[in-house]
Amino acid sequence: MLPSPTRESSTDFDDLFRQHYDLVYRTAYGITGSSEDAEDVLQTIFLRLLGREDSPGLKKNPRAYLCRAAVNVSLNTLRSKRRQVQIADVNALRDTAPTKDAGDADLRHRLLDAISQLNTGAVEILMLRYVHNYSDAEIARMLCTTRGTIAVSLYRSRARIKKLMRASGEKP
Amino acid sequence: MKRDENTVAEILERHVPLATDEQVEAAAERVRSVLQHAKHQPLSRASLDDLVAKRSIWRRPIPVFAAAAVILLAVVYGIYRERQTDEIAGRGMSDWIFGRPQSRPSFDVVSIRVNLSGRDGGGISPRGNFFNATNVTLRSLVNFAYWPPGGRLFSRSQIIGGPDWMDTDRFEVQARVEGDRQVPPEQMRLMVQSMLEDRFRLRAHLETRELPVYHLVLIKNGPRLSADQSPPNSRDSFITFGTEGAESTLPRGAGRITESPSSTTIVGTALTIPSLVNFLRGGVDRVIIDKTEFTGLFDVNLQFSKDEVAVAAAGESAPSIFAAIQELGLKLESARAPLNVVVIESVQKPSEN
Repeated sequence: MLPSPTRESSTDFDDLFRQHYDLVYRTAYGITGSSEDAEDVLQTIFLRLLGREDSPGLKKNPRAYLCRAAVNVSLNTLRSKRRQVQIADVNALRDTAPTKDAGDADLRHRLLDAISQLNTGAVEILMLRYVHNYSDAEIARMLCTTRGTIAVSLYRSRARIKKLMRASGEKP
Repeated sequence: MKRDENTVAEILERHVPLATDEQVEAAAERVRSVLQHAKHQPLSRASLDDLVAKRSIWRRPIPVFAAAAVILLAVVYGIYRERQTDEIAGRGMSDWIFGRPQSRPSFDVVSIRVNLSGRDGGGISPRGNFFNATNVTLRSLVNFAYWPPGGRLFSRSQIIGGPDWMDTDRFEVQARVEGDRQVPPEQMRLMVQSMLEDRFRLRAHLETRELPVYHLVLIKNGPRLSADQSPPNSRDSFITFGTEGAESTLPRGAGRITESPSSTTIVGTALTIPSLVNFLRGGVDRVIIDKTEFTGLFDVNLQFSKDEVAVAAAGESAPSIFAAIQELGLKLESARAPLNVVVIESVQKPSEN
């Protein structure tokens, strides 16, 4: 577990960023599947931290706090994008991410769509497991819960993803 | 049941998007520069809200009154500046004070850097509360900023004046409004106007001028209707940029532009006339105005030369855009029409972050 830097000075804030940008960006990328969205999430979270005093949660366990923040902001981004009307403008389309295989892209799209419909806690555990490759025991320690709770959450999330992907036409 | 469970786990392991180290480092570098800039910004609205919520104004009278004095001075200076200069569209600070149209909004954080990569491609992607422009020219930024509500982007001939570097120097711009709110496109454009005035010292105004245009008209019976006239899925109505020899199947409603050194090819199915006009805009130096009143869907497979002189010299056989378009039953006719233009009065290279 990383130490818990407090943000009483600019240096502490820089330390906080240096130690956790990787966690925040990778978590956001795992949920949104977009480098630009992940960068937005990273920037949003640290700009918010600049504008306020440290919360007890951040002081106590910065890694868990920032992971939860990344999941929350990423899910908001993903859900709001689903509601947005896309404007087919030449400039905006230039940043369309290339995909190496249409089938994989479709599967990934359905997967992200299913993940966006899970609750925040479940997505947080999924990201810690499948993006950051933590074991159930490590996740349990980080989130101050039991290994059994993590295992049950992962089991339920996978079942829900299976159901949602089937509903959207994909048979996992 | 256990087998299904394993399958989902495999999908998660294989398909949850994983960022590369390069992506992470590049993003961190960009965000770090924005944060450095944000640290030196004056007290933001959100910070002020926090301050007001947490502390009574009377407990800290000196800083609060000093801040109020600074704000008052800024307001007075803003009015003075506005009366000295003929700012665009008249949406200035005095409008806000005297109850005329709303004051122009601005971003809370802006980062502008020169892009020296030498690459051509770039784009502007406003999303949510974030404005991101990558490898763009100042002309592109002006075009986005003054893009008329509900209208089309300006053609090159509709942005008048400005120095040569407006088309050659490339910039990386990241700007953000605090909070989670979705900034409407119209408001985002006003914010980009504010940013251009602040950082590029842009002075510009809108006016109407009569300019040469092309009218798109029908000849014969117009384009041959596509066999399937059912409306395509709106999500598929996109434009993609292809490369020679690497072309995939497009959904109905989508179109692809493929550029070679001497010619442009446009391919698409179930397109509308407005979509075609969008495709053709890059091929001519004037605004194209749809005069066809044609509402059907049609298929396009069009190849035309970029430059007739260059094509003749190279011995290429692609027709000009004017000849090619006639194969579709359409014609571009020269005309004149009153158009909105942006006139650049003065502009400077941007201040450093």
